[in-house]
Amino acid sequence: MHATIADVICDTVQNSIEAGAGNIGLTLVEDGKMIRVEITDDGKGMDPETLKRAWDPFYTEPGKHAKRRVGLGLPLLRQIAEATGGEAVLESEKGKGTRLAYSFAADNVDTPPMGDIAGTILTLFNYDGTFELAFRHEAHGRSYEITRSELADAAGSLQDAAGLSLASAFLKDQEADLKSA
Amino acid sequence: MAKLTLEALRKMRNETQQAMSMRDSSKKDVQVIVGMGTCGIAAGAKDAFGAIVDAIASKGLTNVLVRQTGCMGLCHSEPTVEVVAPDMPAVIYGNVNADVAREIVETHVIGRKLLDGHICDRPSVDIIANK
Repeated sequence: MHATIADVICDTVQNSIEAGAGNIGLTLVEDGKMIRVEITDDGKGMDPETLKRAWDPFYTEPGKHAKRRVGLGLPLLRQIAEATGGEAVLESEKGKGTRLAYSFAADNVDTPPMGDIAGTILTLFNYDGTFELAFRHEAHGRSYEITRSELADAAGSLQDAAGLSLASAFLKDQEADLKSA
Repeated sequence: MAKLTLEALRKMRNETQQAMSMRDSSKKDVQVIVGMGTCGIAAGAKDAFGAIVDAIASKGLTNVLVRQTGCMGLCHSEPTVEVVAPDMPAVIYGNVNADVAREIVETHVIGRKLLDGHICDRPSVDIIANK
């Protein structure tokens, strides 16, 4: 499994992209006591039976990975979250979308380090496709919000190194500002 | 220091575009594709991705698309990076950390030579087609 919360965020937002979502919301809140992540999407969603099985490590969505028989991501995420005093909640409705929320106690020894949030958001923005991704990060009493489309509008194509480089500078600057509070 | 705003970013972009206007910037004929599956992310693919973006931008290369894909089935050699360039075989490099990523840009993308020591695989559509 992943070494950082940023890696977990990357993986779980990918699920929304792969679910064909047109609009994805990602919120990361650090309030000093808890680290909370919420991902909402308007992708294909899951029926109640699939939703139940999403927590089963021996279940993966048919066709998603050829020959794979396990789906460890969400079960391991829940295990880590609960081990730290947090939780993981998954809600979904077929045809409507999915909401995944998870949290970790900030001071628990088993809570993974935060990792590279700016780099994670950059890689998520770089994915192929026309989806919108709105990111909000709140920490230490400060916050910033950015969407994939407004960053692409300002920085240029997010598949072009020049655009990515400018976008990276922007995201790193926002993250540095949060940490300086 | 004031936060970087989107407006400032637009200004920087315009300045960069003006600086690059001397070069042919319309043709994107090279693709660098980073494997960003769970295995790749866990192995450090984001570091490789960031290093590639920085290296390409710092060299002012305007003909390169940077993309991502899922697991390429080479989890033992993650992070993996595929380079597709005209008149060269498509190659997947394995165990690509940030240093190797910069070498790939320098040697393969700019120097148009294969980077020895990290070539991992290419399911060889060209070789398969020739059989």
